[in-house]
Amino acid sequence: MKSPDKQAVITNTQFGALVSSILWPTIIGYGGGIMAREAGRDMWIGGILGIVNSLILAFILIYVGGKFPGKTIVEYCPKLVGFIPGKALGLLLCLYFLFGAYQSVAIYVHHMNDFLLTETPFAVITVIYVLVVCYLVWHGPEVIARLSVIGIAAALVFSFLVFLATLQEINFDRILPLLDMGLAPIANAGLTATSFIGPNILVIAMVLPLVKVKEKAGRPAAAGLLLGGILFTFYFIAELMVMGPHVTALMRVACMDLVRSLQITQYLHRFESFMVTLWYWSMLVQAGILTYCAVQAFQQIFGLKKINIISVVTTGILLGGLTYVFAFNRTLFLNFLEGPWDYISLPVYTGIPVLLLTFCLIRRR
Amino acid sequence: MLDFFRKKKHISIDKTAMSGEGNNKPCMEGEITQVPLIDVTSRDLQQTLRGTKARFSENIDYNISILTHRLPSRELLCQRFHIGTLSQTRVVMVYLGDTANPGIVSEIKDRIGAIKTKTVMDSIYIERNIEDSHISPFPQVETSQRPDVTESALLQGRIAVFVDGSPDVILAPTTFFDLMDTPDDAYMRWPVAASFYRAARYIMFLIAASLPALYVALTSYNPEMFPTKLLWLIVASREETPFPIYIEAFIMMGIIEAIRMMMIRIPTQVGATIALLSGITLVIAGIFSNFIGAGVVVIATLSMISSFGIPNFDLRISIRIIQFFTVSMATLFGIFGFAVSAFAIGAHMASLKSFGIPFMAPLAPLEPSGWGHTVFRQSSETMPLDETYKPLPAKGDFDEG
Repeated sequence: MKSPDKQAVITNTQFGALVSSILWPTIIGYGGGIMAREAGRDMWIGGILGIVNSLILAFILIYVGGKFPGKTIVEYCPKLVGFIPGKALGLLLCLYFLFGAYQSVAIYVHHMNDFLLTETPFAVITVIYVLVVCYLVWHGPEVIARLSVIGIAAALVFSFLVFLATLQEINFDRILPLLDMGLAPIANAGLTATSFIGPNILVIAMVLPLVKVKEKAGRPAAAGLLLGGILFTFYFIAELMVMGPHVTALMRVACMDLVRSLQITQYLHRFESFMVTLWYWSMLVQAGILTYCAVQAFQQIFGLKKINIISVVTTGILLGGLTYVFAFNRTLFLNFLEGPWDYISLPVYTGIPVLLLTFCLIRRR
Repeated sequence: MLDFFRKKKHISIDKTAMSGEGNNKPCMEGEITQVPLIDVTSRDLQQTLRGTKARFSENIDYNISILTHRLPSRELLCQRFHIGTLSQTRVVMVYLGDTANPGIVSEIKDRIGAIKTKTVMDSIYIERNIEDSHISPFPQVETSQRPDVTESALLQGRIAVFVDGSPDVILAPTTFFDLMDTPDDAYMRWPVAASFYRAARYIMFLIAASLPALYVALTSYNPEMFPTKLLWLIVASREETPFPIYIEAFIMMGIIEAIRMMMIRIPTQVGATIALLSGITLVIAGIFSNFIGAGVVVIATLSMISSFGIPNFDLRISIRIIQFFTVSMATLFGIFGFAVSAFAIGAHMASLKSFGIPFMAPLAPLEPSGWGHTVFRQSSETMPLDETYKPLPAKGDFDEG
């Protein structure tokens, strides 16, 4: 049984929407609390550093990808760095995408299970969510890209509602003075921000061959990264201005606590369900495209062309299993994201693009 | 309306076969008596205040003649088929040669040519055989009895398929926005009003699909989301009701479906009166006997009214059924179930294609240039043309179908 996706084509607008809608949902989920612990009231500057870093990496990926038209990063890696190292890099990318998808699924399931559906078993929410992700992967990147347009529209509504709700609560003094803790904590927060959005940057290198006008892919990618970055940075600023750095730093899921502490007039005094529904679109688009990239990377390592049902089901089982085994313990999950993940993620999202660029320049391609 | 054909066209009946004389002679042989064509008056499903009052009939020659009268162009091309090994029903595919996408024309031709059946009783048999997905609840072709709608579709590069014996013309390819379109939009003088009513229909579509599910999810799992005064009202109305909220919702939705079916089966003013009386009696008795909460009645009725804002019959039916799915998911998993079902339906709609054209175009894929005559209605002195079906699709747009 083959996927319905035969010759997927993503328009440049959809490409931009895809990049921006996958950039913001996980980082506002867990990133806010972690970065507030690292950089205090300057955490939003860390967010901006993350965006700048992402822009540089995205342009490297688009530049290198442009040298290999119609090929994904997994396909051109062996051509640049040699067969065995290239395949090893492909496998590393496959695992990285899978972990990115797992992180996305786990963060959503935590939101649901800890705040809205406290009585529902963790496994039930995980299974249903992974089923929807697999359904999306089965339809392929073209459908995911179409949904990302709706996702980004929902994200804008989300931000507008947050803006409305925080308007009465904001206090500029809470983000002042700037550079309160010095530069090193901000750099550390920037590293955390890039670690969160790292897998999403590498998605560009997997999706690039599907973009309609590849020569002009840089502009929508940059616009997407900027928009996505603005969305999460705005959210960080809102968290700081409403709750302050110390309260934000105490939170595990600061974004949910912010939304729960706000109201829009007396008619919408608890609107976290609506916010979660809006956030959900971007979240699913992110989980869908990362899972798709994991499946596609795995297949391309072994030279398989079309996505088949066995790959999708196997990845779905892996994703659900990983979430259930490793994300059920929230403390373990949070400690991992806050500690080792930065150092595991950094060599992949920075190292691979820089390595490929270096080989590209050395071999004068 | 059919005077012309009353004079010229007749239905053939074999007297010998009817009288029982002879043994198993084919009806087509023997003496033929000519019987005048019977004028069939049907209910008008696409009424408008302005615009033509003419409708297609069950005679294919008459239907084609109406069209050629409206579009006397040499570019109006016909491809004729005889479908059905037994009935040899005449099927005619009509399109504008300089406007229609050749790839889509060829695809429809191939699909019609591949139909293997004994007889074609109605255009629905052709429709079912040429659609991209049979499993999908959403129709991927549009049907209309109006010559002006057909003319407009042809001018936009779509293809019309006429079937002898059916007044419903199949229009393909079709997007979601075609199904939400009404002729009134085009005939309205002020484009702002047309866009307003169009936007209202999309909101009604969303309400019909999701309001009962949202209500069940919030009242069952997250009542704290309601404003306090509204919550008091809901709680007070449900104080003595014996059933949980989701059972109430299913009961009300079931009653509404039953009344709707009754109105279809008794399509007269008597039927409407009976439906109205029985509906009011059931609801009033239900509320006063504390059998059902007033909140559910309001929500179910609102969603029913909203479903009638969807102009296309097939799409409306789909949404009514989808409503049961969303309510079931909301019953089981609250707001998460609601979000999952909304996303699954959205993903399905975004993945659907009608002859290679994405079902949600020009919204997904995003083509804002096409919004002026699909999502909204732009101001235009001439008929706005939809670019969705433009003849030369970009690479990949058609090939994936």
